[in-house]
Amino acid sequence: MSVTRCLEQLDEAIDAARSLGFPVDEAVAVASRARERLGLAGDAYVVALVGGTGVGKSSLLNALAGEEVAAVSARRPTTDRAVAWVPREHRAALAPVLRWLGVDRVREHERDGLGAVAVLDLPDLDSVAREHRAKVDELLPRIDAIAWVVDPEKYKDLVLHDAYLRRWARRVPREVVVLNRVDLLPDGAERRVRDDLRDELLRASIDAPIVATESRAGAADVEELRRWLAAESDAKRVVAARLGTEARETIGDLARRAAVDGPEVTPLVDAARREAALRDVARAAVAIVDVRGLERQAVAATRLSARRRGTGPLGIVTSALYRWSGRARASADPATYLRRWRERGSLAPASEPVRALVVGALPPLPSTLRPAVAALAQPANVERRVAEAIDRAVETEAREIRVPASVLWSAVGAAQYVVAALLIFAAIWFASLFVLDRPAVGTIDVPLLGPIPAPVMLLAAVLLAGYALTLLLRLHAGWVARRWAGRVAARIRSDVEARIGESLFVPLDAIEAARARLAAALRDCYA
Amino acid sequence: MTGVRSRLSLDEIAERGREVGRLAERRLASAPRDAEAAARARRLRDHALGYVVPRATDLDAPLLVVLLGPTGAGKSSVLNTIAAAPVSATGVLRPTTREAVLYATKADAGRLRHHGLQLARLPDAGIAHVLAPQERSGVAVVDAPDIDSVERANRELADTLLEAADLCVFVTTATRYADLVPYQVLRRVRERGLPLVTVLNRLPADRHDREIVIADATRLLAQAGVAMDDALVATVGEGERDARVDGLSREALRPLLERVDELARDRDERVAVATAALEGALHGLAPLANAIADDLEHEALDSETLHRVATATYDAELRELSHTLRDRGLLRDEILRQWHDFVGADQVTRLFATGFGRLRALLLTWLRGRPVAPLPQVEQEAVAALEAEVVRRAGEAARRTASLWSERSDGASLVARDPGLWSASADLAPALRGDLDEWMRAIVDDVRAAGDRKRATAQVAALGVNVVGVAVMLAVFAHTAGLTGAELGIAGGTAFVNQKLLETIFGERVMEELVDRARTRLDALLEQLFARERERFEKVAPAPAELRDIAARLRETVAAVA
Repeated sequence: MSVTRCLEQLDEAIDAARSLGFPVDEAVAVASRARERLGLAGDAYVVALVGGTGVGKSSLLNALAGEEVAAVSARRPTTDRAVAWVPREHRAALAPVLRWLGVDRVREHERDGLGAVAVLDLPDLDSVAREHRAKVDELLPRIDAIAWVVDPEKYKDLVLHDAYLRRWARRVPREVVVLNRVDLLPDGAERRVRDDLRDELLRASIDAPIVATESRAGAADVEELRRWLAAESDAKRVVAARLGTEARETIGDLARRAAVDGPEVTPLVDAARREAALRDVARAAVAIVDVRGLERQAVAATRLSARRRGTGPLGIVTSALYRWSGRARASADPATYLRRWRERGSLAPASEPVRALVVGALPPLPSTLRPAVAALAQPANVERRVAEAIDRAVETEAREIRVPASVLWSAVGAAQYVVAALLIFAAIWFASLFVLDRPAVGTIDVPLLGPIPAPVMLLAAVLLAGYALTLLLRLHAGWVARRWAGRVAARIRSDVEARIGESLFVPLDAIEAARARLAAALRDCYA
Repeated sequence: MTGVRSRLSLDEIAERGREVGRLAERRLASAPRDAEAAARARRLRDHALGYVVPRATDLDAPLLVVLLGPTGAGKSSVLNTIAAAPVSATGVLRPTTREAVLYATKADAGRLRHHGLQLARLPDAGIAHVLAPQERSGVAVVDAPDIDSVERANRELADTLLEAADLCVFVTTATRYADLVPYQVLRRVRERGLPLVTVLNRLPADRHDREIVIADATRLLAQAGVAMDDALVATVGEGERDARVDGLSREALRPLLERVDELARDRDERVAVATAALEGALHGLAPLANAIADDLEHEALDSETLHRVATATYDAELRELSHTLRDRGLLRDEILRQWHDFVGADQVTRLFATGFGRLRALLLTWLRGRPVAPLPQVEQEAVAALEAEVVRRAGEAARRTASLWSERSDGASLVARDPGLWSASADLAPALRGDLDEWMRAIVDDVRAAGDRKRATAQVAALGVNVVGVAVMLAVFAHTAGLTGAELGIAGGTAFVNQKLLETIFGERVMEELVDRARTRLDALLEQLFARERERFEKVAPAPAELRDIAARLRETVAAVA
């Protein structure tokens, strides 16, 4: 795991967290602090002695040094400013780091074997001098490694365990708990105290090593601590591990707020419920578009078209009347009918399934994520999305609407003209029979077809033919209209569904994308 | 004979103490915002009920001495020294004492524990009893658990004991004396006017260091308001122990031991101490009670703001809802068309048609029979549409309120408790359906009552009272809004014929009355539903009036005591 890679992932995670509306100031501070530290010397590191007043931090440092480095006194609290104890050869390397820490009291030493490490004696964190605790709080985020110092009297104080160990122990991989002043304990008690301390640490899942030291004046025994210090000589690794761990923990914190607990992301809403909600919304949307009404309009429009073509001379008159009276516009204009879907009802029922879906998804979420997810159910937004989807579907469809026509209708129309002509002919024939009272040609022989005179026959046949043609036109137009209307309705239905499917869950998908980014950042940082 | 310098008699003090205790209980029940505020209220309750009341009731009751201090300071060792026997376990593991150890005679322990006296409020599991010899009668000593270890329960128990004490023995060490936590406890000891004895344990062997520590500790204690003249200090060096009793050296603790012996011997002295302690306790009531009253008033202000936010949001959404119901079509055209086809059918129009139209209608009715009204469809649609609108608005009101509350630190924790607050409650829709059923029934009843004109009765009977009821309901939702003729869409058209039908049956005035009454009832019904929805929020945030009331009563009661 490279630190720079992890920091990039942290930036990525911060970006994703910001898009979810989380506060990210702390994470940003972690990232910028880490970059500052990376810019400084990497071949030496700083370990701080942290603990309550009177546990012997300064004495411990003096015992390590074998001389008085930090002032020791019976007066509590003693140390009010941090003191750094640094190997002479690494003084130059550590100078920028110490400057960055704001530590100006520096004591050099020439003891071998401790490696490139500056040991920092910090003020206490539990005394009446609150400014000491503030100083510790200010420095801790920039420290590379920590030696927590406790003694038999103070090893289970609430403030140390709650405000410090639980918060920092996981972010500082190189750490040790120093049980100081074990010489105060009666014989055989050291083991029990050590175990008790370890149990308390394990309760908080901290598995830092515990070393015991004595800091009796004159006869100090700090061998265990010295060994721990000497065990790590690769400062670069310490710094990298420290920065990487904190970046990872920070990403982890952000991820947890987004209900991302591991590298795998459980979707906020499972696929089946999501599909069901989508179907419900689409059904509500189609209900508003009113497909049945559309079918009626389509049938009426087709009939109108058939009437114009197929009813001969009379049809032209009636269909013109139909149009001029405005009835065609009102009930036989599917395109306009489609476009005016908004007038046919409220979209409220369409937002309801989304609301129900979101409400169901909320309870298991961390409260940090709830506002963002709850906002998905905002009806105004849901309705806007549904409306846009319907608009687009309707517009495409309305432009495509061509009322069907059939050559059969024109043929029927032509036939109707013939029927009309024959009708006129028959009429004239009859008229002439009655009007021409005395024909010039003597009597007129009316041809007989069987017992019935031909003009009567003709009239009846023509009327029958006209009726049959009208019936044919009506049946055929109805059949064509219903088939067409059915197709249009089906297309609208599937189009609306498809477009709602495309756009309805865009905001949810944005949240899921941010969560996926957080999970990816976490995964990459662990890799 | 009371000897207590107060305007009130002891009985009155006890009565006020009980009142303060009740108020503190109410405060605890009002969900204090943070742990500190809750601790203050608990302290006041423990103080009033655990000390003021029992002590004012009986000045002669056994004196309670409480050993307080940080973990590992040697409280148990002090008790062992007082008892001259290993009665409380000491050890190297911290914290050693997890329950209070009461050292008292059987009679005293009984009085303290069971007769409504100081220790009656402690849970039995929190205290162990060690029998003291008869000559100790009158003084009970309690070894309290620590105040600063990872065992949080210890701190609570110690706090309760502190409030019940007549005399406090504060035990600390050379390592501990500058720790912050004990000073928070000491501040309370001073505020509560509790006589104090300090034991400074584990002093360094070096004489010079020892003097430094004693001087420095004295300085710090003085800063905390513990003047050394009135606080007896016993100093014990590191390792100055009495192994026989598992305690500290008797010599070093002599001042404390003598004081305890004196109290056990001298009843008058005991009463004097008890009197002084009670006086101090009465003085201690006011600062604590006032601090709690301040808490309450701040919380009331904040809670009011939260309530205002909720009210404003719900009101706005309710307004939007009535707006929607009034100005936009609620019902889908498809359903309205069915109604239009029914009401517009000749068989129905005959009721208000005249001349030829009437004749035709009669003929058609005779030929085809009466058409069936699409009652279930229209009713179902109206209920479903209304439900969708109401749930939408109420849901949005909840979401917006929750979102606004979440932006405030005090509101965020309240919202976090219940994810249901982010949306309309689950029983809103069923409640609405029930209410709408009732509303429909009320309309039908109105129709029946209004149909007393002869002509109306016949027509209502001809159509069916339910059909007319639905017509009234539709008139509430669908208006012509002044449009006529060709401008009307299907919605307007339906409203038009519908209105015409009602006018014919009832006449214009009665029709308007009917519709108005139905509309008013609907508005009231919705308002009530929204109020119920809003109450979910108001229930989570404590009622400002209740908080203010507790605060005012607290101030008043302690002012009368001081």
